[in-house]
Amino acid sequence: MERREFVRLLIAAAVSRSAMAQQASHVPELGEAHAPAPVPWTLGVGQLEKIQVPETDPPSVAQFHPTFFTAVQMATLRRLSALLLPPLQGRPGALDAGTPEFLDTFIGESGADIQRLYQQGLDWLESSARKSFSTSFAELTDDQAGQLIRPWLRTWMADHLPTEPHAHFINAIHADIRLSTINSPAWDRALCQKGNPPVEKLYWLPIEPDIFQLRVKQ
Amino acid sequence: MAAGVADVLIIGSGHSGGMVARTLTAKGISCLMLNAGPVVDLKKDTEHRTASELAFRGFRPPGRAEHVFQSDGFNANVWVDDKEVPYTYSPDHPYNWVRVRLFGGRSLFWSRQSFRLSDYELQAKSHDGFGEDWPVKLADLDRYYSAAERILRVQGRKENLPQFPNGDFVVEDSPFSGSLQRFQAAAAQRGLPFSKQRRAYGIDGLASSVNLFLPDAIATGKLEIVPNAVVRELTVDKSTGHVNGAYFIERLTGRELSVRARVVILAAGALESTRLLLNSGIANSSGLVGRYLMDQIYGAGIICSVPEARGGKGSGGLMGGTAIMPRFRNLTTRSQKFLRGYALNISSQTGAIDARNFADFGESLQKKIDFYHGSGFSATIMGEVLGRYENHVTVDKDTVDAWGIPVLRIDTHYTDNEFNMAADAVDAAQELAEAAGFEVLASNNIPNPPGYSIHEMGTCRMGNDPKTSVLNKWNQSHDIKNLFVVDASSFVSSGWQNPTLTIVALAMRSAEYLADQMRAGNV
Repeated sequence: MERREFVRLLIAAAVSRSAMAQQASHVPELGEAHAPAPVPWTLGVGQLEKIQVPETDPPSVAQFHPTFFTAVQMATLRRLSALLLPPLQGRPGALDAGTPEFLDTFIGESGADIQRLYQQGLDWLESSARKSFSTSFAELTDDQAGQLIRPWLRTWMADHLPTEPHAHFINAIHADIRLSTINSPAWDRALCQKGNPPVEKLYWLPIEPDIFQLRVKQ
Repeated sequence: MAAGVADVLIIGSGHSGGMVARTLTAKGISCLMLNAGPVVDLKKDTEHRTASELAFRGFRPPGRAEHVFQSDGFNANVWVDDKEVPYTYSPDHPYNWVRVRLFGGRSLFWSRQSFRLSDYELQAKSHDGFGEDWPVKLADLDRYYSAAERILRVQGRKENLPQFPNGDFVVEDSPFSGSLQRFQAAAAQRGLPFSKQRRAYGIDGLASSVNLFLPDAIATGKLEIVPNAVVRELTVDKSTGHVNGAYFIERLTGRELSVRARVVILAAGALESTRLLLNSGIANSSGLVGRYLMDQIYGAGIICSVPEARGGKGSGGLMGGTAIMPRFRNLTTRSQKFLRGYALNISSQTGAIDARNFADFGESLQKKIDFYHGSGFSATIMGEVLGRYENHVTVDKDTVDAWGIPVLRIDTHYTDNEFNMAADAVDAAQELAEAAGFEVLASNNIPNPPGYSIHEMGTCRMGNDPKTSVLNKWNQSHDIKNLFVVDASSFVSSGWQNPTLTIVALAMRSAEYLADQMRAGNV
């Protein structure tokens, strides 16, 4: 380092130390919680308008890492999603909509009953495929996979899924795959391209959230 | 008002609390209203979003409002958080307790169906020998029902059906669509009733305490309101045995406060009002506070398709509209399988039929959805649940809510009466649909679990005998004459009818009685 640069830094440090000493000797006025900064640290924030950020959907630039399903379960889920809801009529299928990835996160955060339903159901599909076709479910043709699924499809009314174990799983996951796909950003983009933008509904934000209780719950 | 003694303390701001406030302040009586939650500001508290913009694509967020069938990603924040205000029950007998503590309560979000109880419900024991009669008849409530219908702007059509009493309606007598006429014809062939729905339209579609009752009360200058006030217990003057106020906790700061009042009115909703009485340890010489919990059975029914409406041919007035088949069982004859009765909600739809009505997937499923579009038709039950002593609530002293207040333990279950009623409703609906030439796509004869209807009733039932009831016919405590409970806690039987209209009528009647009693110096 050149001497000139060294002196410059020394003077800057001295100035800084002097400023800190001045701050330390400042007695806060009544009502002033903290010693004032050289420049008020919230200056200008109150006038900030929304920054126009060209947001990118994470899946288009990042790789997804499942955190709940095993690799085999994930492969089964992807095959099942492709079978139950392929691309149709210019709209994305479940795979295009990132539905298996979404369900990995969503089910992973859901209650134990739902987690068990999915894990046991996907494992059952895998073992059924091995038993019937000597290959993994992920490798089945549509016809083969359909043979395993169709016997368990039922008609049912809202909130009353079939109760037989395999029928319960198949119909529940079918409904979840459909809703996840239809409510996906990819689906919305397809609707917009068709000149039929998605419907907006009233969303309720947290209403005067109870921060005190949030602290207690932690 | 300084921290003195209020004339009347009202706990709760929903339909019942709002109506008593409106009635009392109109008569010059000052009221102080406490509500557990905040006042909603739509500009601040809501946005318009698509489902894809929500964290969980419209699904109910995991761990939130899991007992609320009606919750989803859009509305999860309006319901009471079960972790903040828990309740307990046996795993064998689950209960779905759906609560809203926002100012106005569930009156912000109800289905608007508005029917009077008939004497088949009000005098049910005289009719079939089960349970108890209410201490009032339809004639006693007629004036209050009419006033409530006018304020709520109930639309409907008059009929000549004793089980479906007429009211002060805005007449709605437009013709039924073709599919509804076919179902109606099938019903008429079997001597079954079929009528227009009766709905409260309020103002601009909102029929809530906050837009129909409370503005009038506020305008008198005699109503003070404290939101975010979580009431812990009522206080009692030990020398007189009368209630004289309440302790409450500020929801957001945790500060403990108290108010004093000459009269206390509980309007916190059945179960919350009962919880307060149990936690306060008062008004229970009968031992019946918490007993005879009822609600209504929903969820059983059928989904059909009208064949002539498929393939895009459903225009020309064939589809669309709703109707109701009011109770037709156990009126002049007696079923061997169940007591009381149910109504069927009928709906003819012009939109898509849900995929779950076709046991199919992939492209084949999509072809069916497209072909069946616009041909949907449904019939679903609203059925009475019998009031049984063993269906009850108590306080669970081992579990407290976020403010340290002991929670409710709910112990209730349906019996053969409810299950047989649901099965009968599905059989009846299926027979009518087939007679009308419809294809039944799906059916369900199992009711939704208790609580789903969000119509909890009872647990402080009214009656003439203090040994067998908690309240008298004016919703006044038998034990404590300056204590009133004006929500659906007072119900003696559930009926099939949505309870809101009756709640509003009873609250108005009770408030008028209270005002007279206060004027006479009796309370």
